[in-house]
Amino acid sequence: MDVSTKSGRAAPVGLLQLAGVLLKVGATGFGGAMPMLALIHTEYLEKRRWVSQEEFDEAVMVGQIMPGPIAVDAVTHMGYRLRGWPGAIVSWFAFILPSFLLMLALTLIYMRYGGVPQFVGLFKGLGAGVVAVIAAAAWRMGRPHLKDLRTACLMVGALLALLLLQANVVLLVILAGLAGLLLFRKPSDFPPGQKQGGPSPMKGSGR
Amino acid sequence: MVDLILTFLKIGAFTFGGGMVMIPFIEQDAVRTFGWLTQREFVDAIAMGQITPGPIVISSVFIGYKVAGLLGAVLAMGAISLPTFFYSIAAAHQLHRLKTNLRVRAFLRGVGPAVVGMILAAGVIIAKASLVDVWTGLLALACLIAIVRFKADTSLVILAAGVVGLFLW
Repeated sequence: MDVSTKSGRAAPVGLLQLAGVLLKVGATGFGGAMPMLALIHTEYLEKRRWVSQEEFDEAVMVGQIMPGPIAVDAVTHMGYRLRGWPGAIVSWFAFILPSFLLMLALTLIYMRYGGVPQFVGLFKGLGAGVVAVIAAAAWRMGRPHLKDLRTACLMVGALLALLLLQANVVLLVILAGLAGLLLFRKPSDFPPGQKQGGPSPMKGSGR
Repeated sequence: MVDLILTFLKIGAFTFGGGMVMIPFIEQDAVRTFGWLTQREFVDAIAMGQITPGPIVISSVFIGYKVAGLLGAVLAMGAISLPTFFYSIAAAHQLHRLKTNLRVRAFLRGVGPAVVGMILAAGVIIAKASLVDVWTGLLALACLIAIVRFKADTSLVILAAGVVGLFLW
């Protein structure tokens, strides 16, 4: 079949190919969303030219705006744009599957050997590491918000509400969003590049 | 089981800002409200989620398994990831509006810092459970410096912390 020039792109991306690439990224993408997005950038853009830089940036933006893990959002979104619903389903599933299986294996090992005294030290160490990772993430995500008194107040407010009042997390998210609607009304309230930096920083609006 | 599915659907639907944001959500629901796992197990689950590749949400597999075995693991992972799936597709149809709509951006500009505050709060709770003496405190500090100052890979840092712990205690 001759389908090579639909919207100036080469033949549509095969679902199996898509699955293959995402199984690989899903199995090798350590360290959270941003390192994974860098891997996906290499596979989708540099090696295969499946998406343009602008489309990739848009997918990262979707990942940041929409709830849920950023990389899963971005991958599903690109899958949908490449191959419609089948592309989205295959992308979503293939990306999650490797880490699901690995985590399941670790869980089984933990259930079996987690209580063994020799491993107490291991988990003590891991716990300290987790605290550091969370602190580092908060530092990376929070630093841009410190520049504006309003965002800094929202940050401290949410911290105290959760810590001292045990406020409901969903309620807090909604209240913070509503506060945002009240507080940020001028275009100047949205400095360019306010989003956390990804592997490919968002450029100005394309069109 | 129904609680498990509903809780994880809810978490998947409201965690603006990426995987890390799930930590305060899961802490509140799975540890405090339902008591599905202890604080200790929760920290271990996050640690395991970090040293495996893929998104951090994967820690929900542990919780699902503990509540209802293999089926629970599948359901927890499916439920927490399902909202993401539909959001991403919806976003494809609203891309232009999302990019330009000031109200959407104002809402998210309010949510962004709040979510960081919530992550910090979860960090404090976890630190209280995990940093039990001077040594664990120093280890955490060393890890933090490695990540922030030297840009070390987070999964490697956690793994290294575990190995240090293995020899130290």
